[in-house]
Amino acid sequence: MLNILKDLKKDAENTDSRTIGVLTITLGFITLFMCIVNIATKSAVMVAITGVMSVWFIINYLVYRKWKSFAVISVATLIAVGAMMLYFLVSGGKDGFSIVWLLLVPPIGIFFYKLLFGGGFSILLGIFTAIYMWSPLHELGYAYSDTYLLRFPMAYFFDTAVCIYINYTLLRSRQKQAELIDMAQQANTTKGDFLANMSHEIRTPLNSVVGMCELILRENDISDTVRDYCFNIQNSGRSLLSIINDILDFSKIESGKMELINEEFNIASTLNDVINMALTRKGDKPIEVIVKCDPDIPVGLVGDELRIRQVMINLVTNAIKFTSRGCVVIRVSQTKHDYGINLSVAVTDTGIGISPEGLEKLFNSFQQVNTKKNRSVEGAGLGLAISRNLLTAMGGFINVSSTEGEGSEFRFVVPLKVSDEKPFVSIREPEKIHAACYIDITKFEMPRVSREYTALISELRTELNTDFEMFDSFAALNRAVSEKKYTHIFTGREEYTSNRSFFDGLSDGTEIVIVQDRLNAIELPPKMKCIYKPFYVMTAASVFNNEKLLVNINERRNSAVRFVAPKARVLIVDDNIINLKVAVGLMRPYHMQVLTVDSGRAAISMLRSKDIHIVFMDHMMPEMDGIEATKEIRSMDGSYYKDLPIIALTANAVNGVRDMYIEAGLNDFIAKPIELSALDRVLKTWLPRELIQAPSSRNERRAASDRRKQAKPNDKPSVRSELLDPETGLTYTGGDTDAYNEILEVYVRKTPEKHEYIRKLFDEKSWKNYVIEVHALKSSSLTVGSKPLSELAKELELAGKAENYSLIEEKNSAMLDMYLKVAELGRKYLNIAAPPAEEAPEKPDTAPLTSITAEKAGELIERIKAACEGFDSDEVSKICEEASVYAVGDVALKPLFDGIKADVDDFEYDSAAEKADAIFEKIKK
Amino acid sequence: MALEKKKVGILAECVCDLPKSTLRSRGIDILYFLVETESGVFTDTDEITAENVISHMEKGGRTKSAPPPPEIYKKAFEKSLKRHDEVILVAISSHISHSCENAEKAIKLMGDDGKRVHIFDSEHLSTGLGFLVLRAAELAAQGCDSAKILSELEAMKPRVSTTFIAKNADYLYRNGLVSAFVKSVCSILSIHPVLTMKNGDIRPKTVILGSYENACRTYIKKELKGKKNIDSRQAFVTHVGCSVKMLRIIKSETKKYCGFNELTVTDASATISSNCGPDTFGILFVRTD
Repeated sequence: MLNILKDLKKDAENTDSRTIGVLTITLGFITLFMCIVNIATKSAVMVAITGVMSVWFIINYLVYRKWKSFAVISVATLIAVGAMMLYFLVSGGKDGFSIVWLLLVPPIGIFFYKLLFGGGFSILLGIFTAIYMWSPLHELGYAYSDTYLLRFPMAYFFDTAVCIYINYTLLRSRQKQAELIDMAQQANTTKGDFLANMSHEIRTPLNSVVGMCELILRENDISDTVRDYCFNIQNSGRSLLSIINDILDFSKIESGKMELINEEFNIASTLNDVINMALTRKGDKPIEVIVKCDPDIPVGLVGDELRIRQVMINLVTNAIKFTSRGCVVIRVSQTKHDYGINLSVAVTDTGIGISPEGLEKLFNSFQQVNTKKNRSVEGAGLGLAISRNLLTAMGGFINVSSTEGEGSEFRFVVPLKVSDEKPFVSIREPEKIHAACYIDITKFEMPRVSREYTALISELRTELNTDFEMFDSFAALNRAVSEKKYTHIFTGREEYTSNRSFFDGLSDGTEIVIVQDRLNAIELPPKMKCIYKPFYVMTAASVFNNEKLLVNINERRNSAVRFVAPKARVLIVDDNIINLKVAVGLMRPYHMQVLTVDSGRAAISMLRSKDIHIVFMDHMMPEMDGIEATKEIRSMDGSYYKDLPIIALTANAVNGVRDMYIEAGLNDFIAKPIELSALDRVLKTWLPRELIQAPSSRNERRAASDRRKQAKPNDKPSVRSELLDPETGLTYTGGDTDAYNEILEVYVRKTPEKHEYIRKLFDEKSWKNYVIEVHALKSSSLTVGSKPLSELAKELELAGKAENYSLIEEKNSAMLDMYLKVAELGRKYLNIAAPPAEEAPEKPDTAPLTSITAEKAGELIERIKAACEGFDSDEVSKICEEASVYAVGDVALKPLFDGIKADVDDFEYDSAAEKADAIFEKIKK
Repeated sequence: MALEKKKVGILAECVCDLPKSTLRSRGIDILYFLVETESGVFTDTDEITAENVISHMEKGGRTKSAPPPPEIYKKAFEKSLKRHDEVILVAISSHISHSCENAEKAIKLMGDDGKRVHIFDSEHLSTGLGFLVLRAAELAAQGCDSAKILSELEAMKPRVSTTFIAKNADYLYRNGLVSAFVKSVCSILSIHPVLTMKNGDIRPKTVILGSYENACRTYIKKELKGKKNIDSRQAFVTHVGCSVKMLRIIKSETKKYCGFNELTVTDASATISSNCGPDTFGILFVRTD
């Protein structure tokens, strides 16, 4: 019962209060009308009753207007309707007909209120009516006929039942509809999640493909054909990557997970990126990219620059895709408001245009209009849908107008806050500028292009507030030059070559600026200034202000490295072995010392040596992720840890997480797949200057490469077996084959000696040392990819520690046999034909030894321990070399330190450190 | 002595819904209304279109439109006065917008120059206003003085027929033109309201029941069939995001009842659209008497 009441209340509250108001006032007017009718019939009682009721309804309405209380209006209406019914029953209304009005109560109650509330009230009224009519009570009121008395309550109940049935059916169908909508939404969400997950899964290997191509392109000894193939693979990979990024973005927008990051930005940089992208996309298409930009746009804007750039690039890329001749005009303007500015961007093209039908579905997801015509155009059809959603999220709008066959114009506007109102472009001394621009407009195939250029110059004159004249014929320019002295003359490449002597002659007193395409630029005399297209307000201002041009568009296809840093020590932290491999490969041409670890924790241990110059840190890693690791590194004592450059290396760049990285203490980030230009920039920015050197000559590099080739067998014999799996071994060297080969070679070379030593310790039952040796064997075997041997060694190590010597006695022989077999497989893999010859006995060192104190030796030991902690084999070798000329008393240090070096050569840093401690104890004694 | 020919410049507002190319070719300067949303203020037509407004409102956003502030009118008047002796602003009905009020304020700010600016309260909107703008430009091009133009426009005003049919009463309800009850009734009974401009106000003219396509046919028939007093030189079909198919039907139905020499389809501005909702359209023409 309580629940029903609660439902009733809820039901009533959900009823549109305006509807209740309208109903009440309607009832008021009906009763008023009845009152007037009764005045005409001179029925005083009825006049009084209907009059009171109409006043009652009108007062109800006024009360409702005043307080908007549903409870008040509902109770009042209930009373009024009840009273009206009573009145009809008792008085009979107009000739006993007025009671029929009650038949309106169920439909009005049920359809305009809600089912429970209206239905409940209608049934109550029905019961009351039936009791009145079917009992002797009716004798107290109007004398209805018997038929009437019998049938009216039945008609009323029938009316109520029909209304309830219809409303119930409607409700059921609405519920079903809602369930179906829910199901559809659920299915859509699942599909979106699947799409997002799949995209992410596809992106990871694709990153590797693109990265590997980058590696190949950076090799110097590949043929041009291979370079071309590889370049095409890389381009296709990037296109695919961009589609996948679109799908990911779209999924995020659909699921409402798209985050916008408002940060300060300069439109100049955004525009620069967009132009770079536009020129790359344009390639050698015969179209002009014309940029018109309001120089008064504030230099400091606040908004999600990444997303604005994404939308701009999308529109420009589309325009270039669908335009085969003519021009693509990018116009950036602003309108000022109290809150900042509205940034407007319009991209107009002279392309194929869009039909009116196409325009209707233009912003739909996964659709490209006129698919037949656009069969050659790539894309998932998501770009515009994403752009619109991004702009909506930023509070902006996008719209399009187009004429089929003539071209399209896409415009968007986005409101932005302003942090610095200074204009982003300004001329220092505009009054001193007297510039002319000569463009032979007949050279353009389409008159539209020449119109756009003429308009551009006219706008530049107004916007930069300079004397800037446009000439469309050489004769006009010639005439003007004879009459007036210009500070600058801008002209195109063709115009210059046609009138070379004229311009060369002018170049003494006037700055001649040749505007040309990068792709077919010509060499110019030193006096001439060259700027690359597009010529727009920023390039013009740079010329007028005599500044170095900001735009550096030319991305070299041949990705040769422009500097090396052989002394730099780089640490790459990534749990994904392929990513490590790609990163290591990309770093190799810089000749840096590259170290790799697979977790944040390992990175922290590695950094204790304080000799790493830069860290590339993956974000997502198990146990401790890149951000946690960075926070811990920053919290360590010493300025080294505060200043160490840590660069996020992440595929997560689409999330716009730059702020998060900076806040977490990272200095910069590079998106995966790593771009050469980005890596170059980061290394140049963050490596200490003294570590950066010019690269060696190409011949030297080629020679080095050749040497490597000679040293390396071309085809490795397949030795992959249960005992030795080089693939597993490679995972411990970050995929670096050279490093693996070096490790395996040392392992194989040391095997006879180690094998003999372990046997000796076993025979002597020197269990403590035996445990140390098998511990070392465990690690080194795992490093080269021999898991069974490593596990057996581990079993014996544990047995030794547990003093379970019987197990050692049982399995030692098997372990040593396995050790030899692994070494044999290693030899085969390395293509070493015969077992390594025994090393010639070392000649006795006849050089005199320098005597040092035990303290000094202790210092060397401490240095060695520190180097071991930092896994720095070079440093250990250096110290051992240094120690080889010292003796403490009559004890020469060399033989002692050789043992440490041997361990380090086997990558047994723990064992080396333990040996160092033991040597120090010995020296002290 | 030959009479000095007065050169009159015509200024229009974007709510006249005439295509930019038409305005440009007739030398008519245009003033843009402003549409305010939760995120900012946007210039009608240039920054925000009817489609933008509708999609914003469909997602639950709110919009508010307003004429440009007096300063903008002042700038526009001053700019036009540099090229003309006098300026006439053909403004949207003062009953539904503060446009005339803001323009009056601008004139006061201009001092003596303000005397050369005239405001004509069209008592119409959309291309109904557009007809008056075009006529004013035509007269100005013929070299008529401002008084002549204003009197001609005054005479033409009652002859312009500005009516629209709305798909439903939702947007009329949002803008306070009808109550929730009326909206509900319209929705339940598939009633499509037809609105007209009368004495400067937007008023309900009639309602048409049934499917929207049929209602549109009925509306066109009621507006045009058997009317002898229609100036058949030109008519506008002004719409808010009607589909290509729908526009095809509208054009063919219109041609069925009245062979207009020129039947121009124009998009309603964002300001107009925000008040009547998607799929609204009107057949706008001039009567001969």
